[in-house]
Amino acid sequence: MRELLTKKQLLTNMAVASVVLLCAMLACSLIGSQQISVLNVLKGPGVTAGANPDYEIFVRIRVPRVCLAVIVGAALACAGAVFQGMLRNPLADPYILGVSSGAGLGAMIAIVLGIGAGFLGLSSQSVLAFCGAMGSVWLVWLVGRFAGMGQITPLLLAGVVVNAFLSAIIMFITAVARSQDVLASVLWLMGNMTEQSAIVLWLGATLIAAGIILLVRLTPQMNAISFGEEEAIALGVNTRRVRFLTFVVSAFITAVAVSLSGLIGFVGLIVPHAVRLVFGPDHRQLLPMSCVVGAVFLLIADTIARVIVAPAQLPVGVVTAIAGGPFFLFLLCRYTRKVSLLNK
Amino acid sequence: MRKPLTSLLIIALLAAWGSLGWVLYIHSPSKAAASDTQPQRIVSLTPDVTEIIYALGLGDKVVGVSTYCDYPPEAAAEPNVGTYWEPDMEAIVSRRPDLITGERSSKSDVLQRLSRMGYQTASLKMDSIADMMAAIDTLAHLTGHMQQRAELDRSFALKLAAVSDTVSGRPRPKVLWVVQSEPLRVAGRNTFVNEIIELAGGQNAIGPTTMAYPPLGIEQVLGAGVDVIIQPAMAGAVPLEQQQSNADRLWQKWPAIPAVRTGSIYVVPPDTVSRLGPRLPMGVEMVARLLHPRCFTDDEGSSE
Amino acid sequence: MSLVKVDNLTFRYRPDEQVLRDLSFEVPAGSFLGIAGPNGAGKSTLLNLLAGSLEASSGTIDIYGRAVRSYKPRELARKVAVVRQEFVPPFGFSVAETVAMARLPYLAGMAFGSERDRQAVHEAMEATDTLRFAERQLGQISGGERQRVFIARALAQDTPILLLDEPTSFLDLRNQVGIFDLLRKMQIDRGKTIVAVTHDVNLAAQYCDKILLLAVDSSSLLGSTQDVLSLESIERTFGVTGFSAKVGQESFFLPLGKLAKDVKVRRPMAEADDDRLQQ
Repeated sequence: MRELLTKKQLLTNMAVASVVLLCAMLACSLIGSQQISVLNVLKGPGVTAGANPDYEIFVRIRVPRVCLAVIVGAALACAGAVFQGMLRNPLADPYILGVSSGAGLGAMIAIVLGIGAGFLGLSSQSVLAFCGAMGSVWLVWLVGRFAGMGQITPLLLAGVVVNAFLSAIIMFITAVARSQDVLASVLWLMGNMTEQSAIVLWLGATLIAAGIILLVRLTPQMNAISFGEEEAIALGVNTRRVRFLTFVVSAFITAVAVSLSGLIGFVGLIVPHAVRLVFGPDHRQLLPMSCVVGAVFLLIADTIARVIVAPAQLPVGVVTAIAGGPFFLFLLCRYTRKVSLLNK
Repeated sequence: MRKPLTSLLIIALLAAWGSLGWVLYIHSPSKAAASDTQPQRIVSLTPDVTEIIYALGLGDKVVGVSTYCDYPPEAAAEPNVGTYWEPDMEAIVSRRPDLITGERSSKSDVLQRLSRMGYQTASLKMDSIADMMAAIDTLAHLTGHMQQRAELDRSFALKLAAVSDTVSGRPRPKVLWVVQSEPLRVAGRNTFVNEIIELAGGQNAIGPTTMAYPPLGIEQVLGAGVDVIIQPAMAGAVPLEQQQSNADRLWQKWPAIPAVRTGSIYVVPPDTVSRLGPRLPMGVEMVARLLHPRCFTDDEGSSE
Repeated sequence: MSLVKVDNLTFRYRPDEQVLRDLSFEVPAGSFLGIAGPNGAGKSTLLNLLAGSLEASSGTIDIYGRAVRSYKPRELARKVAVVRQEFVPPFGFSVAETVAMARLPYLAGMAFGSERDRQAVHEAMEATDTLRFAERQLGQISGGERQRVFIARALAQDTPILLLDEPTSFLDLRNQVGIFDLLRKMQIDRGKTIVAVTHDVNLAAQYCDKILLLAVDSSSLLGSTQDVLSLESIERTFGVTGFSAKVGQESFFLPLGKLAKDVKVRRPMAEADDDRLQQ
């Protein structure tokens, strides 16, 4: 069945996957709620703003959305794969260590306090969501270390506790805030992919790519750690350092993704499982492949969300949930039937 | 060991990527300069502003509206560009607008996004009647429809004066304006709804609050001595009559409230009182008729 | 020369509770040491101390003349391989992938490995008779086969020292004997130094050069099976009575329960009975 991974095989798979991704990007930039013609796009922007709507739509709306979906999809899938491996928990997703409630709280504070100013064209929600996400992860790390010396179970429990606490604050704000602010927060939390400026996309891509590259370099150690802490140490892995690095970097790229696009669920949970089913659990391939598959998945989901009930726009999180839910159920049946889930 | 060629390649890639970032940063699009010509293609994203635009006689220039812009009927017939908080950007752009308008609100950044793309936008503060008058003024200046604006102002003032004449000198009943029944939320003193109540010859049953639409406990209602309860109906499947009977049933629990004793619980159609627009005088009159029914038995309605 | 040297080792999990006290012993190169004792005596603790994953409260543990805690993780991984009880990790790694992970201490970057690494993996699987299910997932093979896979991994790690923690618990008789046969083979064919924790004193007696018997009161006894596995020492350490017998040079011990059928409960045996049972 499956052979040991070789460098050649990995590079070949990644090359094919990249080609598929590029084709998907091209295809999705040609699909939208409006029909546009490529010839018109190539004619350029026109004299005044808005004179050539085909160009505007393609360059100002579709291309940024496509790039955003790729960046965010890759980040979420990668972080999900890392958390699943490092926490040895198939149900882990990028938000498991408190990122979701921290981001939600940050965004909500921005909306309710009516903070207008942003940063480089990023809305204040995005900036505060990022701060909230990183802040809550830091809090989880503190609590986890205080409770259990950085071991896995106390960390997971700390994540649950911090999530619950921050959610309580969110509920309080919901109760006293204006209903339209609450609506805005809820919509933001459901996944909010909008056209970002090119410089913001560049920054996001840079940060996320850097994070992914760092994580990929740690994949051999992640393989060892999937067998358990002691096993990995016996194989010469500095588990404390690897755990710290992987958690911080994964949380970071998740926070960047969330600040760009709100909370999009299921990508980080489902994509690693799907990739594992086809390509196996070796993290050296799982991580880069999850990035590409995650990018394609979110790309398609966003395209569907934009188009399927146009001019109404579905939040992208709805599409990923509808696609992800049944698949998750299928995975569950397959896993429980086939593989024993004995955790050490 | 890495060959020096690979290292060189990596450095070159990084340098190229870095310069791309620099280029993008320098060429960040700035806000669009206001155009000299008057807008000919308007997209309006909030129903209140849409009504103002039509009232200013700009209806033939409207090329797109949001899903909830349902008045006047001509507006509802215009192409739909999505909702204010989830707009279909492609649809907006494909209408080739030269002005996009909407209420200024923290819940949506669509106007900022369009402005960044180089479109002219008008983000109008609509929190009070004075704000609305200022918004009408802004739009009139932008579009050159000053004459229509003057007419609108005059008819507005006339209608409001007629109502206030009819109810002047009357004792002001205490009004509880319910925006949400479970949990109970009412309109406070710093809302445009409060202005409607005052213009209609009433007063808000609750005192000043920090929140615009505060949640309220039933003890505060009992302590306030509420004479009239007004509740704008919710849009949707439930018909008005049923919402009225639901409200009646809900309040029957508290016969100590004067409004319940006298049966002065009214579920009203929301369009003229929940939306700050040119139909406001109609809303004020409707509320005045509920607060001072005897003042209105003689004539058909306020004079034109 | 002694690869492993323990001197005056003391260990406490908590200040009031001493697990190991003033333990000293050496493991000569190429020898097979068995560590036996009742539950709670500290056998696994001792193994973890030898592996460097726990720090001693006092005393020294030297591997190749250097304190075990002074090694960097990768350095130590090239000298000491640890085999613990088999289990199934949550994600479906295959047997080959599991064994191949042993080469991690020798590889940099993405750990793809060269021909030499593939060779080591192949040989290890051959020696442990695990080649035939190289591509199956760990969850799809039996417990005994899995334990052999973990031993294969330790072999592929190419270390002079092998530490094993109860490698035959939960395995049937055939597998138990099979595993110890395999360990013995490694000792003889490849000159490995082996330290195995086991609760089965008789297996230890058959295979180990020396036995370290640990008691719950932190006392210990080190020596050949003859010296260590006498009736008194077993009774004192395990708190179980029974009778010991000799087959050839080795001693064996048969425990007797109070309600075991057909056997009368005996105190420390009368000399007459003892003589009768000897060859």
